[in-house]
Amino acid sequence: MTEELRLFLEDSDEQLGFMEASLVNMQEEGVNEEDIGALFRAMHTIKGTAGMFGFDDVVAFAHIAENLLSEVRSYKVPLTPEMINLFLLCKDHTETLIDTAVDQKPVSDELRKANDDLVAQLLTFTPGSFKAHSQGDKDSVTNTSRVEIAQEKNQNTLWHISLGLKPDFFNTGMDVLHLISFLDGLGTVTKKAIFTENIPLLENYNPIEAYIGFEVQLDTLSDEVAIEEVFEFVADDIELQIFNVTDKEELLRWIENVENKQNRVKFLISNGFFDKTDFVTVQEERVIAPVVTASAPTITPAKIHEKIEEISFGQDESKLISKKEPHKSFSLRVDSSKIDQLINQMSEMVIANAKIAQRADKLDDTELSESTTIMSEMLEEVRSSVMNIRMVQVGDSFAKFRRIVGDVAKKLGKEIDFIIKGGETELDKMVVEKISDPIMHMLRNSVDHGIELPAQRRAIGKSDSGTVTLSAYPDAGTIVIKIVDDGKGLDKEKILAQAIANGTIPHNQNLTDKEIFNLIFAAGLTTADQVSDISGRGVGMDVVKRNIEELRGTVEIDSIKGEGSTFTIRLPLTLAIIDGFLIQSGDTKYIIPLEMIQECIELSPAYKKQMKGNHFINLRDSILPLLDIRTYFDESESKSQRENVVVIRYGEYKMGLQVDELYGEFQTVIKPLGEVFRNVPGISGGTVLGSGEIALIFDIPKLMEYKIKNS
Amino acid sequence: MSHEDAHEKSEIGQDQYLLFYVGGDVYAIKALSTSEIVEYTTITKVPLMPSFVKGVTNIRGNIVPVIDLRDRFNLGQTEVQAKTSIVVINYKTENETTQLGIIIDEVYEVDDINSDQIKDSPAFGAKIDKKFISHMGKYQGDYIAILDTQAILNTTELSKLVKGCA
Repeated sequence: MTEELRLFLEDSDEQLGFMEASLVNMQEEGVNEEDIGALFRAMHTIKGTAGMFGFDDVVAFAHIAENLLSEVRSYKVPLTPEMINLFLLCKDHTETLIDTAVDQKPVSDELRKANDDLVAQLLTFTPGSFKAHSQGDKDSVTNTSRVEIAQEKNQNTLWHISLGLKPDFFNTGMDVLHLISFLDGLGTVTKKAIFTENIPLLENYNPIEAYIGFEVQLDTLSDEVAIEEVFEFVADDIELQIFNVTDKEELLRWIENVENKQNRVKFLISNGFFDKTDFVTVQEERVIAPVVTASAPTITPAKIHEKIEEISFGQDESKLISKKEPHKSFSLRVDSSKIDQLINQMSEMVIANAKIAQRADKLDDTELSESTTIMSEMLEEVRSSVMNIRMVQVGDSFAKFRRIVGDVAKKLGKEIDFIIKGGETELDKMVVEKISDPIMHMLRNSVDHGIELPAQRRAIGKSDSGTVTLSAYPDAGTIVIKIVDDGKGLDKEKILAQAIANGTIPHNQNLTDKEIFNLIFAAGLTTADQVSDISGRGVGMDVVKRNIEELRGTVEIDSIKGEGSTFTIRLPLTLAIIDGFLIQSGDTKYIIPLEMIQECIELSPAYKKQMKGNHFINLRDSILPLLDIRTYFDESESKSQRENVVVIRYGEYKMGLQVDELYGEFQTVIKPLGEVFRNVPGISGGTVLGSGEIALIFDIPKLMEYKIKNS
Repeated sequence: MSHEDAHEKSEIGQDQYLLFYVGGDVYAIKALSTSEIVEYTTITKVPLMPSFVKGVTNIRGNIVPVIDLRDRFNLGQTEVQAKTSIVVINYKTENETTQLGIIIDEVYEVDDINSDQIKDSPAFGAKIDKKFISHMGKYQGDYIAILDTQAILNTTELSKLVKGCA
């Protein structure tokens, strides 16, 4: 797949996402102008980009949908729920069409039929198109669109289009021929000519620059805006003028601003676009007109001429600006590897600066020390800005779940209120992307297994419709994503019986509730009585757990039979840099993620006496389990005189880590340790300290898990 | 020495080798498989690893595992001295090339060894495990072991923990 095609796919995916989000939003919150606008823009953009690649079927279909949307947008047709559903189908269909086109597969009969059906439905809503389309339906996709275009207005207009390529046009990667041939789709090109006067002599010729221009006369029903749209994606790299052939004023205004005016005029005349008289008469009229109204009659004609140019130029510019505004882009598309690179470079800078700080300390150079402090503050700011580029609100990707939940519920005959909370919570884009599938799976599960049928719910005194809540919020340096349903809850006995039956666990081992619930993450376990196409095959939850763990996250289940279940996913904020706390145990230095640390206490003899060989201490009247890092890593006794305990919290668990030395906060750039150390439990990576030394980063959830299992 | 002619001359000409001392003996590795030689620097111990995995060190901002070659050959641990160095080797895994460092006592030479001077490793009699030796090369009249870095740095063997934990 070429780079352009990949970008096209990415972009159309995003646009389709916008479409769905706005449709679903209107389904729930009612019709509103903003969403209609977003919907229209998305469909429009898809049409435009698909046109660039010559995906005629996509363009034709999008065009028809866009027509109806444009009617909706101008309040000529009210947007009914029925139409929203239709547009949702259209969105899916567009997606299929795009995939088919990108894969270069032929359009199957089935797809064409679906296409025609949708087109027919769309047209029933589009005013003024009933009759013509009873016939058009049977035509091929492209033909239908042609018919449709012919419906827009009753009168053809002859447009003159002047298209000049700016020198760096080729950098856009667009094929100018596609643009020109696209005009053919809008109407009939009656005259065309290539303007080559600007091509320099060979010695001055730069092969990567564009010098040519095109003059085209187009006979079409479309209006100026529609023609302009053809060039929308290269708007910055071309000089475009579109005007009615009969509009002499516009012609003159344009030709006055053209470089090498005389040549162009000759060219236009010799190619039969305009008559000599067209230029002369109009120009004279134009020169005379301002003189009449001018307040200072002493102005020489030449000056007037300048003034006219100024005025006309000014007008053109303001026109251009006002036209461009609605197409303002939402975001800048940057290759994520560029951001990664930036982050890596930032990391090196942080390390280098830490080295300078250390040196300054050693030299006792206060001035240098101050500078490094300022530097590190600035680096911190830049770092967080860079990190922020990667952060996106989870709401955008959550929105698509609405439709999935709705679809599944409908299929199963269930009523669901789906609530999204905390959509503004920000999370690393990569994390958001990777967590999307697991969430979708869990939501399906909740709807399928969790929520009961309305009749069942009524029988046990619940409201007919079940509630599924998807929420996100930050908590202690992590992001928590919760899926809560008020369905029937998990059946402990059934899970246990199943797990024993298929050998996941040998026999009933007096497991706690949590441990039993966790069994559903084991491969091959399902408690659904019936396998549906939605869930119940017992594959999935193990994948869910694995996906989450790959992101250094965890997942927990809470459930009360008859009342519902809660799935809690906990994810790290970012994947690259954390605020760490540097400690030492034995010969090795370690980093603990700072957000997980609650406090540090000295393990005084008094505490030790209290412990009496137990692995916990009494911390302000609560029991704190301790994990001795040296024992855990099978190392020799502590040589440190002062033992310390770092109290960490992860989720609802607390634990103390027994370590030798505490050094303090450290900006930690997480780097992988590599394959050789993949088996070391409780270590998730490494980081380079300011001194150039390496510290290992604790995998707190793993350590916690170990402690819980072994106590 | 009739064997010498029997040796496959698959690679015509010469290859450059890095020759170095480990535990009093000279060994060689293909210069092409190394990326640089650095002075011995601080190494951070990683717990639970076999003793020949000395830990990790910082090579130009990257974290690189370091192997004590002498210990890997089961000839005791390297005593760090002024000339102790770390040779950074490009190690190929299935999908990527990573860097690993090996500790050596001293660099001896970087020189060519003619391919007709290279023979198969002996079936027995070598001081170190023969799986580590890819060939024997004759250099200035002596036969020295040309090491098989892929075998020495075999990730599966290196990543085995000393003691099961958690």
